[in-house]
Amino acid sequence: MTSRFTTKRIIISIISITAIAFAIYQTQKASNENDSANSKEKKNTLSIALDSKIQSGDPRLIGGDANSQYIENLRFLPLIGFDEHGNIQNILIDEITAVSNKSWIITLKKNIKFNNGSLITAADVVATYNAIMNPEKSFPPSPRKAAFNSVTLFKVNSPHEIQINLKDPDASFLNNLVIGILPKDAILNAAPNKINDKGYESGPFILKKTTATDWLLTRNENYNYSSKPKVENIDFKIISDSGTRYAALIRGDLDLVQNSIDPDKVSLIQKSMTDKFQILSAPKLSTTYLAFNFRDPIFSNLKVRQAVAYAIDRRSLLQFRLQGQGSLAKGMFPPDNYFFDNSLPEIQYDQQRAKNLLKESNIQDPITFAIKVSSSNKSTVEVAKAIAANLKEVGFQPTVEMLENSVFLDQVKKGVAQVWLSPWVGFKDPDHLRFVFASNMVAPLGGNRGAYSNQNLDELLQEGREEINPEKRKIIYDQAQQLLSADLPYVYLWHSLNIAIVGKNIEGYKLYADGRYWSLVNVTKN
Amino acid sequence: MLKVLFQRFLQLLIVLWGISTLIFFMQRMIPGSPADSVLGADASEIDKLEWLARYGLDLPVWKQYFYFIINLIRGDLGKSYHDFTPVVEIILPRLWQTIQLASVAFIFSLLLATAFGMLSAAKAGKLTDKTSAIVSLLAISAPSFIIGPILMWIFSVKLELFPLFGNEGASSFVLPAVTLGASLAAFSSRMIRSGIVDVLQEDYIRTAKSKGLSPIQILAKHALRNAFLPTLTILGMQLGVLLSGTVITEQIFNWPGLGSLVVEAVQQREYNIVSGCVIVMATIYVFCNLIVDILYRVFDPRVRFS
Repeated sequence: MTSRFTTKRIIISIISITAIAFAIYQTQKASNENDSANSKEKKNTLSIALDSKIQSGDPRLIGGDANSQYIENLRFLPLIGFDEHGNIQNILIDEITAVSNKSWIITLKKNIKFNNGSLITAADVVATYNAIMNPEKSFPPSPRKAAFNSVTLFKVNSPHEIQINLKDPDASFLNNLVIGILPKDAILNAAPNKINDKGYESGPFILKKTTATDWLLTRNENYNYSSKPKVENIDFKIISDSGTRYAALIRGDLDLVQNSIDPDKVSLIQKSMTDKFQILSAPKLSTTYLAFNFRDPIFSNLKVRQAVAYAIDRRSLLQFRLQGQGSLAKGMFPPDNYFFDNSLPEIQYDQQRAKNLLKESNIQDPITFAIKVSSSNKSTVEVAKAIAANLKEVGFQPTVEMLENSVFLDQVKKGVAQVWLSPWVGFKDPDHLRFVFASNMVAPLGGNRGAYSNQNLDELLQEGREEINPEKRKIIYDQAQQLLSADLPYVYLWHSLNIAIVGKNIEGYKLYADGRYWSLVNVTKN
Repeated sequence: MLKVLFQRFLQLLIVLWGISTLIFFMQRMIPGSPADSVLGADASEIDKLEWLARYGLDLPVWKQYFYFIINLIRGDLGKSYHDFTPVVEIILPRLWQTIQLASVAFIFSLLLATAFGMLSAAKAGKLTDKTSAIVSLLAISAPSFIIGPILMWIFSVKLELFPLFGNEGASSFVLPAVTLGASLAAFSSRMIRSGIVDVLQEDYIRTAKSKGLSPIQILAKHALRNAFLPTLTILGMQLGVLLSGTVITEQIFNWPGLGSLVVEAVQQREYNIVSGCVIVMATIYVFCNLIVDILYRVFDPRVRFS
C-alpha cells in the first residue's frame, strides 16, 4: 500500500515538474524569439507613451477622447487640420468659398489617395459626414453628431466639390471639419471599429496591431499628401501610471513623452539628464481658471470676486507649484492666439487691496467655501491647496475638495460647486467664449457652469458668431474680453505649456498647440 | 462529493446574483453617466438623452435591471459603449493575463511561505526566526503601491534585470508577481510557522523522533502536512485578496489584465465592462474556494469521511 502510494507520488511529481519546466521553456523561447525580433524593430520604431486608453480608432465613433483624435490625425486625412499655433489649415481642401455666413462651397485637392489606391472624392467626404449626422439604425450613434446639428445641406456638387449649408450663421463651423475621411464603401460595409487592414487609411501611418497596452502604427507606403514619414513604425504605449511612465522614459523604453510627465520630474530631467533628453516646450491651447458660481449671493458680489483675484499670487504659484511651465493669463486666449487681446489689464497680487475689497463687499460673516477640483490632475490639486492658503491670508475661509473627475464635472454642471479650479483645453475658435459665458449656455445646455449672465456680452458673442471676416471678429471679441475682464466670472490663472521630453537621438519633432502628433511625419530616429 | 459540488453550484448562483445586482445599482448610483464619457462632458442634454435611449439607459432603473438579468441569463454581457466591442471579447484576453499573473504570484508565495515557515519553525525563538518575523511584518504592512515602485526602480531601472512594464515574456512576471504575492507569502509563512511549532509538541512527533527520523523528514513529512491545513483555508480566502490586489499591481506594471481593465472601465462609466469584470472575479473567487474545500478533503481524512 505504502509503496504504491509512494510510486504514485513520484509519477505525479515527475509529470508536474516536466509540465512546469516545459511551460517555462516555451515561454522563455517565445520571449527570446520576441527579443531578437524586437531589437531589430526597435531601431525603426519610435516609442511614445500615452497616459490613457485610446477609446476608438473609427472616425465615426471617436468622441471627446484626445488620444483617439491624435491617432485619427495620423491615420485618416481630414478636410481641415490645425498648424502648430492652432490656426486652421487646409488638408484635403484645395479651396473654400464662403457663399454667406451660413453656406460654403469646398473644392477638394484632386490627387490624394487612400491606402487602397482609390482617390478621395466628394462622395467619400459626404458619406463620412452623413454617417455621423444620420447613422444607420444598426450603427451606434456618433459622439460627433452634435457638432453638425445645424447642418441643413451637405451634398456632392461634383466629384471634387461639396456644398455645406447651415440653419443659422456660424463662423466657427469650419473648425468642425476635422473628421478623418473614410472611403464610401467603408461607410457602407465596415462594422463599427472594423476598419483596419482594409486600405481605408489615407494618413501618413496605418494601423498594424493593437493590444490592450499598445497601438502600433506603420508607415503608409501609398501616402501621397506630403513626403512619406521617415520613421517606419510608431508604437503608442498606453501607460496610465505617471511613475511608470517616468521610469520607462529614464530606462530608455520610450523615445517621446508629451504632456504626461509630472512638472517636478520635468524639472529633474532638465537639471540632471540633458545629456539623454531634449525638453521641448511650446504654448498650448489651455487656460486654467478659478470659476465662481453666480447662483451663490456671495460670489455674485463683484467685490468678493475681485478680492479673490487680488489675493492669489499667480506668479509664485506658476513658478513654484508648476515649475514655471506656463505663462500668466489675462484672458481665455494664449498670447500667440490671433484673438489674444494684449490690452487686457493684468491683475497684480495685492493682499492689502484684497482685504480692502473684502471689507467693501459688506459681507460681515467669514466667507467659508470649498474650492472643488478634479483629482485627476495631481498638480492642479496642489495649486488648489496653494490658492486656498493665499485666500486664508486675506480673510477667506476656504477648503479644498478633491473629487473624482466625473463627480467633479457632475457637481460643477449641476451648480452645486461655489468655486472650482479647472482648465479649458483645446478650444480653437473664439466662439468658445459664447459656449462658456453666454446666458443661453448655462449648464447642462452649454459650458456656462456658473450661470453667469451679461446681456451686452451675449450680444457681442452672437455678433462674433455671425461675422466671418477675421479682422471684424477680432474687434468684437476684444470688446467681449474687456467686458469679461471687468466682470470677473473667472479669475484666469495661466496658460500651460505643451512639454515634450524627447530622446537625444530623435530629430525633427515639433510641438503643436493642440497636442497633435502631426510632426511625427518628419521625425528621424538615429 | 457530488452533494458538495451541487451545494457550491447553488452558492455560486446566489453569489453571482447578489454581486451583479449590487454592482448594477452601485454603478447607477455614482455621479456621472456613460454619455458624459462618450460624448464629452459638454455635450448637450438632448444629444445625451438620445445617446442614452439608444442603449436603453433612459429607461426606469427597474426595467434596466430586468433586461440586465435577462441578458445575463442568456450569457450576454453587452457591448462597450466606446468601441462597440462585445464585453466578452474585451474581458477574455485580459482575464487570461490576470490568471497568469495571479497564478505565478500564488505559486511564488506558496513556495516562499513554506520554505520560510519551515525554517522559522525549525529555528523557533532564534535569530533566524526573529529576522523572518520582522521581514514578514514589513511585507504584510507595506502596500503593493509602495513595494511595486521600489522593486521597479531597483531591479528594472537601475539594474535592468527585468522588463519595466507589460507582459513581454517570462521575465516580465517576476516583479509584478513578487509585488502581488509578497504580502500573502509573509502572512502564510507566519501561519505555517505557528502551525508547525504547535504540531512539533505533539506525541506522534516525539514518536517519529524516537524512531530515528531526521529533522527534515519530521518537518516535511509529518509536521508540515498537519500544519498546512489551517493555512490552506487562509490561502483560499486570500485568493480574493490576490485578485483584488491585481487592480493596483496591474496599474503599476501596466499589466494588461482584468484589474487595469476595471479601473479604466470605472473611470469611463462602462457599466457593462465593470459588471462583466466583477462577475468574472466573483466566479473565480467562488471556484477557488471550492477547490480549497476539495483539497481540504484530500489532505484531511476526518473531513472526507465526516
